[in-house]
Amino acid sequence: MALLSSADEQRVARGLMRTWSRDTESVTSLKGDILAAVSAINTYLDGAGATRPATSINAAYPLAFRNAATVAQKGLLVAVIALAQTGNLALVRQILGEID
Amino acid sequence: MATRFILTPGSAEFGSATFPQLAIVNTTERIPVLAFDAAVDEWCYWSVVVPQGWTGAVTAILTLLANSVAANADSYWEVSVQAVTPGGGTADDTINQSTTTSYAAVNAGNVLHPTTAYQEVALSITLTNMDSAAAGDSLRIKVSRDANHASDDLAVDALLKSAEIRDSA
Repeated sequence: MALLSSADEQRVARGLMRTWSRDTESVTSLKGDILAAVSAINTYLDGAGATRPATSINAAYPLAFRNAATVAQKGLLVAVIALAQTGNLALVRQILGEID
Repeated sequence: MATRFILTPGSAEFGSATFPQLAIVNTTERIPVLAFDAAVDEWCYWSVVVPQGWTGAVTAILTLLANSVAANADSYWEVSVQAVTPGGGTADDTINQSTTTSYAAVNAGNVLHPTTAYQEVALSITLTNMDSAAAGDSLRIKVSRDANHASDDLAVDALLKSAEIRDSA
């Protein structure tokens, strides 16, 4: 498990936006809020690999995304970041579709 | 003010890459729309002929939709034009259209989307840069969502239902 680069954070955010568009989900977050959430959870999960976190995952989201996203959207975001941190972006593509 | 063109999803022309997806809104009515990506710039084209009587300032009105979105979510759009006079003598008129384009500078604008799902909004962009289009010219109109523009923060596909081109007649 390794911290995602900012380029890979953007890939995950792009993939999530496309998935939610394709699934015609209501997305009441701004583009920047999603990217900020991806970055925050990337840092959270990477840190949790070494040290027990002081907060819940939900508390780790930036406030705007935490208040706007659904439970399912938050779950997918965590899942794909964890998957991306394994280095297997090909598998992330299979789940989200094109991420570039 | 006269309506000169109504550009619809079904009549759009697509490049080899980064084109919007032809999609459907409303499973019963099956309303065609063009879905422009939230993350990467996408564009498409329409080919028309400038009608007789064409005059004055020109405006593009884009009719847009999106699923329910965040408050204060804008999408940012660019419209650019290439006008060629068949048999004309300017540099633009003599391009090899198989290999070359000669669009005028983009005309741009952004619009705030309603938070209500699939509620229409109209974006009016004054086409200041019209490539000196005159009656009889062969016109290519390029419509692009500049998804990575700082003013574009809509996190889902923006759906273009139609575009109207007006002049001042």
